[in-house]
This record gives sequence, structure tokens and C-alpha cells, in this order.
Amino acid sequence: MEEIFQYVISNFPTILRLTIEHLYLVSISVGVAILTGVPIGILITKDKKLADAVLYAASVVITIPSVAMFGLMIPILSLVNRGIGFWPAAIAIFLYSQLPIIRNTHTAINNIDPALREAAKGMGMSDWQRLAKVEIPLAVPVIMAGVRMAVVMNIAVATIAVYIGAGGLGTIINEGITGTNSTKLIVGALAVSLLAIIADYLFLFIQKMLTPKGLSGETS
Amino acid sequence: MIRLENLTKHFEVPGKEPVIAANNVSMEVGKGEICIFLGPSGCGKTTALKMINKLIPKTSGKIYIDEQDIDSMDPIALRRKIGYVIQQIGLFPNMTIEANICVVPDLLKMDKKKSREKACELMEMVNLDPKIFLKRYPRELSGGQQQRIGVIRALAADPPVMLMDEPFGAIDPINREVIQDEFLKMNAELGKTVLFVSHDIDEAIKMGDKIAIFREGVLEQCDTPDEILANPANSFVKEFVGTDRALKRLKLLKVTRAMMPFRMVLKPDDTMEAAASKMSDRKAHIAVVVGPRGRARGYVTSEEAKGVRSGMVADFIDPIPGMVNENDNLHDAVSQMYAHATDWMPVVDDEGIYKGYITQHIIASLLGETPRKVGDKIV
Repeated sequence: MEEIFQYVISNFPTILRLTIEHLYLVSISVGVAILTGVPIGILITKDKKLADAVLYAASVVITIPSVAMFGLMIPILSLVNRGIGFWPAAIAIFLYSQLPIIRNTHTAINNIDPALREAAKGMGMSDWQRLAKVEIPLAVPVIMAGVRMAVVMNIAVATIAVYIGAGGLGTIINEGITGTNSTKLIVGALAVSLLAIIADYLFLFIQKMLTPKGLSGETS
Repeated sequence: MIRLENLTKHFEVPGKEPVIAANNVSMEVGKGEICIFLGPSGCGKTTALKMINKLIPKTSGKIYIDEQDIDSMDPIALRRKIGYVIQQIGLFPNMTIEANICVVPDLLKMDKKKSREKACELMEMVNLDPKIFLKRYPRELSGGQQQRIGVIRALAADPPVMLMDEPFGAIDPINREVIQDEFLKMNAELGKTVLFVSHDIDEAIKMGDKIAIFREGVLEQCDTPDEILANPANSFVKEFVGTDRALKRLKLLKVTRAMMPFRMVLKPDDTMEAAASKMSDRKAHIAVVVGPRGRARGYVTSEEAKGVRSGMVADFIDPIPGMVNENDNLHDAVSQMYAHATDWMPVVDDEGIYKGYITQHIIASLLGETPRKVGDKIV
């Protein structure tokens, strides 16, 4: 126990730097995944067959073991001279984030009461207005739940990124393993878990903030 | 005003004959009229309604709103000019009541302040206090309150035409009556042209200036409620309106339709002898006694008058068996007559002045399929 504290105190700047690196990797990747996943999730509500195909593909992606996924990125990105480092890791995490975000967006939009859609259409809203004023506000809590899932999952996944040179908290764990230093191993693992727990609560809070007042329990 | 000309809708069913949901429907609904589309489920009434705001594309035929062909109108612009109310209400749960009411005015970029004022006005018309409800969310309201908001939301941009698809179908019977009354009162003031889908004949009779009865896409009859009940066009309409259609007509007919004006009255200070001779001259069995201002006080029968032949009318007066107002409907009148176990009843105006009388016999003849000449000589 004491060794762990000692390690943390004496290596605090390194741990902080690696944490920021870790967060940077996850937030950029998931952030871009939101920008693509939400529109894709909305788009596929228009066509059942397309939805099935896209969700199937995203499910297949998520079943690829993370070590294999990172490994796969190397030859592909080597073609553009980005075989190791930030890019392959970011793209892998981006791909992993697609399923929870697309699926939740698709489910949320699909489950909106058809009566609301009919009312919106019958009152003269265009498709865009209907999305912006009714469907997306109502879908936000479920979409955010998907984002939260992606963030928490990928904080863990990003640990592997160290093996393709993308740094992050995996660096400490890796050092622990290769140097059979259990202190480092525990510190690295704890840091990743703590980060995931904090992110989970943070996104839960954001999810609640973004839930329309008329849907949450806390109305005036 | 809305005019449908040969409106037809075929739904293509793969591998089968197309379903004809509307077959050459032609009709006209005048400005300010409420027309009820009535029929069993699957008769095409909702399809006909939704073709008017282009939620369902028509196969052929023409629809005119205020003489303008809707083919020449953009669907979104068209819908914003038509109030639309659905059975499931469809208030947007993420918006306050105020925002819900102002959806169409905001889409039309109307002045925000004016549309908010209008929202308050409309809420007061349906007896909901704007101070309490404007900032609330739909789920904090009861079903009846929500549908009131649904109706005024459709009215917020002041559209000339309203389409209502079984708007009160999901509301409990007591609340439904109240909302129906509120809507009728409101529309008497606003004068919207309303097309209203219902499967409830009683609702149709109550709400409609006109009723259009549909069966399998065919408009079977379009007429006033009284005409439909009195002269159903065919056996389907007859069956649909029910075997009690004669009784249903009672609600539509005012007491004045059946009232016989009185031919004589007695005063309390007439002698019974004079009363007897007056009644036998006019072959009346019963004479109503009125006070100095013409209010009915009671009655005497001709047997009584002949039997006593002395004394004053005031001493022999029998209490009258209840009274009906001339503006009541015959349904209420008949109900009162049964309640008092009487076959006649005097009719009074709002001041209580005696105007005439109704008898069960006259009412029966009025409702009869072949009206008979009424020979009742009571008063």
C-alpha cells in the first residue's frame, strides 16, 4: 500500500501526463464517433434493411478483440505512413464506439411514439424541423447513454493502445508487466478504473442535464 | 369551405387487388360547418380526412379548400393552414404547454408575443387557467386536459379549416361530453370549417351540422343529422344509425317542433260553469289555468268541470305535471313526461309564460315514418 502511494507521489507528473494522453485519445475518437454515429443512427431509421446491415456490421466490429483490432490497424495505416502512434489507436476506438452510439440513436428515434410523428407532420413541420424540435430532443437521453457506454468501454480499450505506440495509461501497466513490477501494474490499473468510473458519473450527469425537462422526473 | 370531387384512393396490396379506401367521394362542407365523417372502422373515413392535408396522397379526384385546388399547394404550407387534431393527442413531451400551443405560429414565424397572448385566450376558452398550465409539461396534465390543449394547439394559428381524427375517442365519457360542449361553444364563436372523424353515432348527432356516412370507401349519405335519422338513404345507413334512431332524433328536435299552441286558458276566478261550457265548446279535455301574468298554475279536466258546475276554478285546480321549456329538446321533454307519468305537459318560455303543450301522441306522430295528422284536442 505504502509503495503505491510513494510511487504515485514521486511519479505524479508522469501519471498526469499519461492520463491526459489517455483522455485525449478517447475523447477525440468518441467525439468524432458521435459526429458520425448519430447521423448514421438517424439515417438508418428510414430503411429497415439498411438498419439491419449497418447494425450487423457495427456488431461485427465490436466483436474483434482489441489487441487484434490495434494489430490490424498497423498494416492498413502503414500505407499512409501512420502505422503506429495516435492514429491507428484513434481509428480503432472510433470504430468500437460506433455500435453503442448508432444502436442507441437508432433505437431512440425508432421508439418515438408514432402519434408524435404524425402530429408533427400534420401540423406542417418539415422532416428537419421534426428531427430538430421533436425527435432529437426526445432521443437525447438514450443517445447519451450510448455515448456514455462508448466512453467507459473505450477508456479500458485504450489501455491496449500502448502496444502500437499511442501511449496513455497503458504505458504504466505495460511497464509493470514487463518489469514484473506489481506496484506499477496496480497503479496503472487503478488509474484506468478510476478514470472510467469518473467518466461514467460525468456522462450520467450530462445525460441528465440534456434530458428535456418534460421527460425527467424533476418538473416544476 | 371544403369541396371534394370524385376523390378516390387505391391502396396497392402486393399480389392482390388494390384496396379501395375512397371511391369517387364528392361532397361539400360549407364555411363554418361541422361535418362528421362517420362509419365503421375500415370504411375510409380517416383516409378521406388525411388526403385533405396530404398525409395520404390521393389516387385521383380533386380537393378544394376555399376554392383553391390543394394540388397547387405545397404540403407543408397547406398543413400549416389546417388545424389537425388526432385521437392520440400527440402533445410534444419535451415542450411546455405554451410551446406546444405555439408550434404552428412559431413555424409560421408569427409574432411571439401575440401568439403567446392568443395561447392564453384559447386556454381560457377551454377553462384551463393559463397561469397554472402554460409552463407545465404535457405529462403533468390529465388526458382530458391534454386533449383540450391538443384542440387549441390546432387553433393557435387561426386556421380556417380543422381536421379532427376521432379527437375525443380516448377520453372518458363524462369528460368527453364536457369537451364536446366546450368545442361546440368555442366553434360557435370561431366559425371554423371542421371535418371530424367519428365512429360514434351519438357524437355525430351532437356535434355535426352534417354527417357523412361511409362504407368501404363509398359515401353512402351526406346530410343533416335529422335527415339521416328521419330518412336514411339505404339499409346500411338505417342499420348503422341504429334501431333507436327515432329516439335519437328526440335530441335533435326542439320542443317547439312538437308543441301545439293552446287554444284556451282559464283564470282562477272563472266559475266552474263557465269553464265547463268553454271547454265543451272547444272540445277540450283539459284546460290550463294561468295567473295574471300568464304563468301556468294548474289545470282542470272537463269531467271535473261538468261534474261540479258550481264554485270557482281556483277551488278545483290540480297541480300541473311539471313543465318543459320551449327551447329544450324533445329528449328531455319525453324524459320528464315519463318521470312524472303523464302523457301531456305544458310548454313555457324562459319567463315561465304558458305557450302551449306537448303530448306523447304528438311526439310519436312527429317521429313516425309516415307522419299522421295529429288530432289531439287537449287544451
